[in-house]
Amino acid sequence: MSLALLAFAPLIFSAFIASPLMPNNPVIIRRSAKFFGVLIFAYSILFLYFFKPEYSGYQFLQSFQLPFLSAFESGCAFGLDGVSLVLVLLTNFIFLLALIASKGAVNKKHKLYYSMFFILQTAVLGVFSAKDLLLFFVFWELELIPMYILISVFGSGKKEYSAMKFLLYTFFGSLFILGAIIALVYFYSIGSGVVTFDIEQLASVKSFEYPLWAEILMFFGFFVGFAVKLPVFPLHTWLPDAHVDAPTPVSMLLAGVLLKMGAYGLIKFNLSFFPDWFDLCSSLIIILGVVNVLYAAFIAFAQTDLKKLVAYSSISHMGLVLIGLGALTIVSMSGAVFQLVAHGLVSAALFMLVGIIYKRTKTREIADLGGISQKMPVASSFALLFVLTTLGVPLLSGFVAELLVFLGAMSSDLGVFIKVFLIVGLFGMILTAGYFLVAYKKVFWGNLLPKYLHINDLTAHELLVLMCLAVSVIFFGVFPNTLLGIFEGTLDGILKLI
Amino acid sequence: MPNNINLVNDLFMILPQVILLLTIFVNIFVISFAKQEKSFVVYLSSLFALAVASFLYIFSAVSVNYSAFFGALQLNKFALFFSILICVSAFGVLLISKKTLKLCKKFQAEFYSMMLCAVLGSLFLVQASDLVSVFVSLEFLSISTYFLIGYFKDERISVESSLKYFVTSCLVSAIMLYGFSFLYGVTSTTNMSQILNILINQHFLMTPLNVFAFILIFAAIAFKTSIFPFHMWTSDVYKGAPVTIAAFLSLVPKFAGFALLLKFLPFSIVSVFLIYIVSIATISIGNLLAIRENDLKKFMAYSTIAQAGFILSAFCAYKNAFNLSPAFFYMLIYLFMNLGAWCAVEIFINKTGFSKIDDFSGFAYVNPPVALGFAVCLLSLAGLPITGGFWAKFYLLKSIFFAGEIFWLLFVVVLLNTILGVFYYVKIIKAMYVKPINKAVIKQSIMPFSTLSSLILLICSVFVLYSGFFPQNVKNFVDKYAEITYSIE
Repeated sequence: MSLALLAFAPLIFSAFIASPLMPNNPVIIRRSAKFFGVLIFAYSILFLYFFKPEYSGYQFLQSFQLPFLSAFESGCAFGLDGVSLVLVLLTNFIFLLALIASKGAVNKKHKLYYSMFFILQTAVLGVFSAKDLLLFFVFWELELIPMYILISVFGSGKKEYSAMKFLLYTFFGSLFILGAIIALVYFYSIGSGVVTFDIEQLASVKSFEYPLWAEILMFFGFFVGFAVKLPVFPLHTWLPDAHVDAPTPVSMLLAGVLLKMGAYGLIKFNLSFFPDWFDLCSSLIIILGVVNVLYAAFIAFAQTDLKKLVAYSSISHMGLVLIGLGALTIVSMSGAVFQLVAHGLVSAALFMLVGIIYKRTKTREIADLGGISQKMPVASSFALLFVLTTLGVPLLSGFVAELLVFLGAMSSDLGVFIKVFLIVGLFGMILTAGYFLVAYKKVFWGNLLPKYLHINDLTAHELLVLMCLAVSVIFFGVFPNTLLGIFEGTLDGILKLI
Repeated sequence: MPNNINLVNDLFMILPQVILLLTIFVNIFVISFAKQEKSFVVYLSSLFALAVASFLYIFSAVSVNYSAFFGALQLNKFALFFSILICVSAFGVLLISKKTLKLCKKFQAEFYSMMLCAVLGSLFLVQASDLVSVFVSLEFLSISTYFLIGYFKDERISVESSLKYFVTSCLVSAIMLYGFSFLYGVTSTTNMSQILNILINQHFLMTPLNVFAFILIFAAIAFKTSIFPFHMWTSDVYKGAPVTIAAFLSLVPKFAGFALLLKFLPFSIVSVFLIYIVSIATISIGNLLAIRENDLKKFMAYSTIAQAGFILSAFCAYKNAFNLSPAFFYMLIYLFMNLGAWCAVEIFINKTGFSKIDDFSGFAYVNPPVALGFAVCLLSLAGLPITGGFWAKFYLLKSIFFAGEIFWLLFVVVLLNTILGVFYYVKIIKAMYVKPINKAVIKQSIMPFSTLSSLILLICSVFVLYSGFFPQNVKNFVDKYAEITYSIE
């Protein structure tokens, strides 16, 4: 069980695709990519099998004695805990589905597309499995260029602008992270006399305290960096552009996996390194979360573009994660992590559906669509399922996340003011029902417009992707404990730091 | 003062320089007396001499500390490292200049000899430990450089930039000499370690006269290394000079200038403060100028200014922190990423005759290997992983932060400037990968797999990636040399 192999296998495979060894034949490239995607997903399932959920620390530890990707007191160390294991699985699952979905969406420069795709996978897997701060940062930055190329080369609309915006925003955020990392290592070495980049060591209970002002700066350094990624209002403006102009599979990745890196960072660094500060700022974080939920929901109401609507609903639902983390109870935090998975699955499905509609009708304007369920009955029933999941209908995964977050937050020992705020935030969920159902009705129901008489229903690979997502959404809605059991131990361990 | 004159020993210590000098003499002899143009022979012998010199420097004992010619030259770890940088980069530049020179029909042989002269001057400069030898070798370097910049004497812009460089450089040399005169006046010796001893022991480090002298010397060095506020000449001269000479200017005289700056750093108490301010300004100015630039050579010039600023900021931290290791690390990576980028520029300009960034449109689909190599070097310059440039920037930032509270402003400035860097380096990648193929470029270019430039580009980008994956190996190499030695009594 080698985590390094898991993280670096896609990179090696991407080099293989880019090399002249791989014939420049789209079918062969696509099939071997899919084969590889299945392989890497199967390999990550093995980690789930051998994982011991009762243990809260890192597992599958692996560190290199070789001077590989390590210098300056940092090491090439990997490890998984419950939260990261769940996200690694989600990553490989969504990447596999995005690979399958790439068939209709990408029809040029296949070598470039698939090699960038797998570099991106390495970056994301590395972020979730690195046990060393510097290694984490290397992977965090590695993600930028492949994503830039994927959006700007294969996207649509004003893709170059959006890609550059994504790149600069994320890089801006990562500068804060880098500054905070160096500062953290410095102050840790001042306090303990050891220069280390090891996450576990930095997160352990310390016999000394950082200077107050330094702690504030470091906490907000990390926070800003991850807030750009999550995204948190007012640093969210890159997201609608990037999501809308990216090709369908890349939007699936962005919403399904990449946003989760921000939340992961908040749990792993902000919460584990500065638990007291997180506790102190919990009201602020909840308020930001509620603002996220409401603000993005209101904007979503005004959208005429289907993909933009889904993008804003994404922002709105990531606010829920923020609320769950801010409340700092085991229930709400489990809800937040559960929401990461639930949202990852649902948003990937919704972006896929938007892509399917766009491919057939050549428009994403809600006003231009109508009645297409008559021609696409299967697609419309899938769409209904996923819309209901987003709304939080019981027995579907979205419900579990929302319930846990709000239950946990209301039962926490926060002030009355914050709880009133939370109730306001709860209304944001009703807003979701408003804009999604209206859009759904307009797009799928009503009279079929004559120009859409020729469109046809799902193709086999689209059906496969949606079916996988639908099954997992229902499964986690009915058996949430299968998922919760994996990471509850880890969250318990983190909460003990406070 | 060393008492025993041991000429043989002294000459043996500067064996690489002796080899270069003999090669230059032989070359000039061949050029003068051969019936036809013998440029290829001269080319090969120059390459061979540089290869031998690099080899000797790389494999010579690191622990050497030898003072030759009555203390005029001092060969130590520090000088050894810069000698390696200079020889290797000159070797690389020489390999890529064959194609450029084909455009100039005759007098190729003189070009190689002049380049060797410049290398020789730089080598003496980094080993010089006496004000006189510093000045003489600096002039040796400068005069060869005037010649090289104006090499295409039929082109107006080349001659213009050579003249521009000549006039300003002469002025600057005079300024430096003026600074030296104060040092000599105060200490009545020209030996640098003796000067330093006297300055420290007699508490001269703080006197206004000393500060004034240091500022004069600093101005001269700043001109040679194109540091703010003496960076104005860079873009014009790079634009006017032949491509490979621009590459040469961004490497060899720069390394020599940095070596000289490091030698003079302990001479004044204000040096760190001065470098603090100047490096902030240099990084910011270089980056801001590069953002709007569309001409490839000028773009590279501004990028070089910004990179020089980064290296300078590493000097700043050295006194308070551990050693020169971050600066040396950065310079070693800079050598390869910069040389690689220039290779790609050289290939592009010489193949197609275009020199704008916009002309790069779709270059990745015209010539994928070159575009990939160029992209790797650019990402490294921007400091993105997994390349050597990322580790270099990280090491730099870490050492600046660890140097103490007063450097945290510099830390923030460097951090913020990297975002500008990402923006304009990615602009070229965007042109190559995102924009539609430029039809005019396709017509001009044939698949250039055969040229030496592609090979150098390959080596550079492989090294950049290697140092990205195995930074510790590079650091171990650099750490051996990272020490400046003055015998302070």
